[in-house]
Amino acid sequence: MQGQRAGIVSRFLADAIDFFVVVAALIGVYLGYAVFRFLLEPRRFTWPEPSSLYLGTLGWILLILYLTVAWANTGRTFGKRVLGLRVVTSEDDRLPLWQAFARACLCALFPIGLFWSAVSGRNASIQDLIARTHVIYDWRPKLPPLEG
Amino acid sequence: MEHGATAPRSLGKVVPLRVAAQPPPPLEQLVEQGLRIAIGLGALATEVLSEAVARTLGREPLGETEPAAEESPHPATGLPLVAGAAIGLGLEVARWSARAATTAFRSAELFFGLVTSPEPVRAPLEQASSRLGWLDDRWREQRPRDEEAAAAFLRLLIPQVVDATMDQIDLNELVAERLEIDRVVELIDLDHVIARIDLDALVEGIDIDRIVRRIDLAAIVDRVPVDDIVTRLDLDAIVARVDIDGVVSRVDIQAVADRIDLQRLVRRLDLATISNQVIEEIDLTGIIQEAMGSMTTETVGGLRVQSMNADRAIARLVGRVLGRDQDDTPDPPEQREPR
Repeated sequence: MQGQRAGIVSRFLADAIDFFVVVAALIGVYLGYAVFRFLLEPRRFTWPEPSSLYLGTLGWILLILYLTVAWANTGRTFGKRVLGLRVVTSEDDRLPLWQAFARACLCALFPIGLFWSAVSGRNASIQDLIARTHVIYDWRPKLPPLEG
Repeated sequence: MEHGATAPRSLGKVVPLRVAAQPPPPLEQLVEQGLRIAIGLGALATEVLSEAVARTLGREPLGETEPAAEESPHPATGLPLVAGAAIGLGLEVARWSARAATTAFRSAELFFGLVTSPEPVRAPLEQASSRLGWLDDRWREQRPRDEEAAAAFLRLLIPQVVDATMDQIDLNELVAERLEIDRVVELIDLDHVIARIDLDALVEGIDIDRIVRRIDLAAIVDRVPVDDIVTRLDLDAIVARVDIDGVVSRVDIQAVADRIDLQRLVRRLDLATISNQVIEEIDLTGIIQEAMGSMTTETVGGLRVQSMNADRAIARLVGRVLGRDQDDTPDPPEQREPR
């Protein structure tokens, strides 16, 4: 099964895990900011109360950064690592940075495009079709040595 | 009279020398009692003298060596028999003499009354009586001073006599010989005696520090067989009887903690070395790797397989709904093996 294109269930579970990772990171950033404020003014400290728009924007930026860095390096985020998936180019190579960034932006802007992989004959989501990538089963911890 | 009666009272414990005069008994009884006393005194004096003489000869008196002689008196023989008979005879003679004297005195009194009844005889007698009364009054006036002088003399004399007597008497031996200590103790109301003792004042008067200083505790402890005592102690039973919870509940843990200088203790610890030793012993890296490995191989592996099966089931379902050829999806693994 290694190297086959992954189905909707595995990809959805992986993306769900990544979503919780980003939420945890968002909470971490919030707490870090609160600690920073407390250290600056301990006696007048109050918990920061950011707006939903601010939080959403911050979360969105964190998500794009997280996905870009993960895909451009190993091709797998934490969720994909747990599920044993990897994002590769159409030539089964590691994604370059711009491609990873483009796919991350597409995923962040239009996450529901993932579900196209359920009906796609090649298990390709909308983001895969636009960014010319696909997701495969790859439980091995590292990429095999690339040719050339 | 009053001076004579009050003077001895000032001596404290000394018994008054003279009591109020009683009406005189009949002359007959007086004489008989006097004779009895004289004979008794003579007998006692004889006995004391004989004992003293026996002691000077180095012999024990008869009474001490033969204490049971009173219970079965031997009939007197020889000289004692004659002496006793003589005393009895003298006693009887004295008794009869006293009766005879009484009868003669009463007869004389009657005869004297008859003789002195005429006027020529009575006048000189009354004159003589008044003369005697004057002499008697004079003596009575002088009597308190005489008695006081005598009492003063006795006050000087008696202590010297008592001292001289005490020098001759071994009081310790006398008490041991004559005093029944048990009987005396039974008579003493100890509760009453203890109730009268002011224990607080008694304790205040005791210099405890001085007593403690004089005690050689080291010598006392050296004499105590500690090992023997410890071996005889059932320490388990003693510990089982201790209410540990009660003791702990009475301990002010907070106060104890406040008295501990934790900073000083921590400064004395070589935390860096201890931490390194702990980390070396724990092998944290190995534990993490093992945990991650086990998670990957067991939990995550199962999750991957199940999600993959779900992928294939969904793909078949979608393919069936869309009327797609099942062989088209998914791609064969060998064709999609990553390079």
